[in-house]
Amino acid sequence: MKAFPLIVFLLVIVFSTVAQAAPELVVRSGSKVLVLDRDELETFPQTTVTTSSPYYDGTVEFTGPTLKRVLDTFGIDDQTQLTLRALNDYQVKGTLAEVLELDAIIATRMDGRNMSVRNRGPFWIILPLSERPELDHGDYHRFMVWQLDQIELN
Amino acid sequence: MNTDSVLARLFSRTTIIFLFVTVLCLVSASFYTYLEDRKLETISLSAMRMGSWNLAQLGNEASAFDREMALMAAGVGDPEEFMLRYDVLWSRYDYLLTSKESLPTRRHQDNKQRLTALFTSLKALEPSFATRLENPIADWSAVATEWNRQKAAIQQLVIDNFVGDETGQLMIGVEASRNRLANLRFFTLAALVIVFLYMAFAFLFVRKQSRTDPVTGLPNSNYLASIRGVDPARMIVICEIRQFQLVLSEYGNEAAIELARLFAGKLKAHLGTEDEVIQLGLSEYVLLLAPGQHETIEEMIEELVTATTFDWRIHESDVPISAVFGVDPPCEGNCPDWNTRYQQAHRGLAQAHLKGVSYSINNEDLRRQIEEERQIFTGLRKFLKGESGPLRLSLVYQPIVSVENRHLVTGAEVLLRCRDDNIGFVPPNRVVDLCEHFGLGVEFGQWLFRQIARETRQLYRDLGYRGTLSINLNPAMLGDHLVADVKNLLIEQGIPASTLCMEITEDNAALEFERINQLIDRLHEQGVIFALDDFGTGHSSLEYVRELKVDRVKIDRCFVDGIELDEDKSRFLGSIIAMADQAYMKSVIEGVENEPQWQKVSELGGSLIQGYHAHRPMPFNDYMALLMDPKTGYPTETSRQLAPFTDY
Repeated sequence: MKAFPLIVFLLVIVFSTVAQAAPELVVRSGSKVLVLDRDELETFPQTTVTTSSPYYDGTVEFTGPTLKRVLDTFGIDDQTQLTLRALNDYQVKGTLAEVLELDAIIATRMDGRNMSVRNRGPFWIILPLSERPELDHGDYHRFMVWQLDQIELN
Repeated sequence: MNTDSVLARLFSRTTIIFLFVTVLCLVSASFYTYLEDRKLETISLSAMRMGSWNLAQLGNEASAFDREMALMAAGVGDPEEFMLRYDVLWSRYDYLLTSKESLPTRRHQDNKQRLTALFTSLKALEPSFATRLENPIADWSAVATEWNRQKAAIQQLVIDNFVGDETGQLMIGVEASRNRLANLRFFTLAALVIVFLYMAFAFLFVRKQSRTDPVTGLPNSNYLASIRGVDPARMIVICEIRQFQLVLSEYGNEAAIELARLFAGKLKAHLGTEDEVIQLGLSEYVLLLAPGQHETIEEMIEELVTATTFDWRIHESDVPISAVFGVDPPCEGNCPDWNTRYQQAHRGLAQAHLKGVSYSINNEDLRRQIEEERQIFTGLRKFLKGESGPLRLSLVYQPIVSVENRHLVTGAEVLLRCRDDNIGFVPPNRVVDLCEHFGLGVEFGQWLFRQIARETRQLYRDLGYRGTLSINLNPAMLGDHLVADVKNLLIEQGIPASTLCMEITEDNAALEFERINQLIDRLHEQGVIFALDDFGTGHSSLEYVRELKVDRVKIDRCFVDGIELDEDKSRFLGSIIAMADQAYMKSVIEGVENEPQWQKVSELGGSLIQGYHAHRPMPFNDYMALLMDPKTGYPTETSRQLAPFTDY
């Protein structure tokens, strides 16, 4: 039982490397790791998507860079497997081509304001459901990852 | 109960409405089931998927927070991570309670209340974190206890929703749906079988219906059309009710139908079980008769005629009903096909109609006769149009002489001769009958007048001859046009009106003797006289004869036959001559063939004689030569002017 505090301590060390004090998005591609905080994400060209969704009432305006623009930094091909992972360990997989086809943005703002974790922030993958009604379906809703934490490419 | 009434009941309005309602119910039930199953699929499945997913996530997120709580309680927790897990849990409650997506989960049973209560108690925990997070060795036990209660409630919620309820309900729904489908399938199958049977019956019914006459229930012409052949031993009989049109026009359609039913009943009653009766129309029937055991065809048909001749009582009066039959007899050896036999039976019927008899059996004689008649008719039509052909008509003249002086020719009867190159001589009455039957009567009469005028006018113009010309009028000539025809074709062509004697028969005249009398009156005005031909042989009564305004009677040869041998016959002839005298009619005695007969007629006071003993019928040239003979005397313009009617 003496070892318990040590184990716990080690765990804390491990955890602290994962958990972020300030909201950050980690993008991994093999050994390459890109960590983007909110400000950095907002330096990308911003896209605004105004849409309704199954997650709230009415229409809401989201702002953020497109997923494509962020991933373009890596120069990867279409068949790359993409994993979107959330803070609550929710994850969804798809090929790059499949996901980029959805015109998704990594929203950093909701109606112009930063999103807290309680408001499904800090980052939320938003699809233009109102503009493209064919996307308003369970098969695509699963890509609308809220509390987005990491993106893995391999 | 026979098949007919079963079928009739099967296709009654009630049955059809019942079937319609049944099918409608089945269709409605199918539609309802379809809608129910659609609902089951869309709502229950999506509700279960989303519900279980979201509540599973709630469970996971609660566990993650629970771990952080444990770490904090142990004093090794990371406050930021602790708050992150708290926020994540917080946002899950917010999502479950506000989003559209989780509406079915919320709505399920009392989930909404339970979630609201749990969210409230989670929020209630937050203030107690603030002080403890700043103090690493704070006491977390009270908070942990509170949290553990919540954790248990969350687990219970997850369990209730997952295993116990939604899935079970979905399974129950699926089960019910499956039962509904199975029942529906059974009923649909049963309905299909019923409809199939119904259709099969309907087919039979319609087929039977279309082949049966609605009035008499006999097979009809549709059935007849389906006949391909008939047993050669059977005879084919076509039967037609006489004067059916008259019944229809006199008593109306309903009475005609009634008569048809009665007649068909009599036919059926008379025929055996092997015989078939097919109805062509209300008045026409085809009979396919099995050969008789000991009877000849004639006997069989005569029995049939007797069986179908009856008095039909309608509107307090008896209408005599009878039928005409055409028969194609059983064939031996080379049997023609059905169509030919059917045609032959019709030929028999046509022949019976033509001859005015009650039946006619088609055989080789009849066929030849009909073929001959067709030839004669064709020849006649050609001849009357003035075209040359195998048939030619010509005229002969039989002088009528005075009983006192057989050299005194008082006139002649114009007689018809007909010769066809292929057939030979054709009896004149056959020619006249054919013309009458086929509508050539008037044309024929006019040809006759023209031909007489053409041949005889020189006698009147050049010789001053004034002997009478007796011309037989065929029935078609006895119309209003007769007056104009006599005037235009005879008188104006040079035949003096006073020499014309139109001969009519009792049968023709007596039918409409009032109209005939008007014609006679109008021609009397011109000076034309009339003779009653074949006196005493017709079917009319003496009353008609008395009423007809004729000037002469021609006494038929049958009254002359044997007068020289039998005193009774001679007396009878004498009384006819006397009767004619009394009625101021001159009598012409026909058929005097020998000297004794001549003497007798002379004794009996007859005045004019037409017969072989005096002269046979002769061509015009011979007739003219006879008149030119110095021994022959005849009335002339002057003699008639001096003493009309006295010298012959």
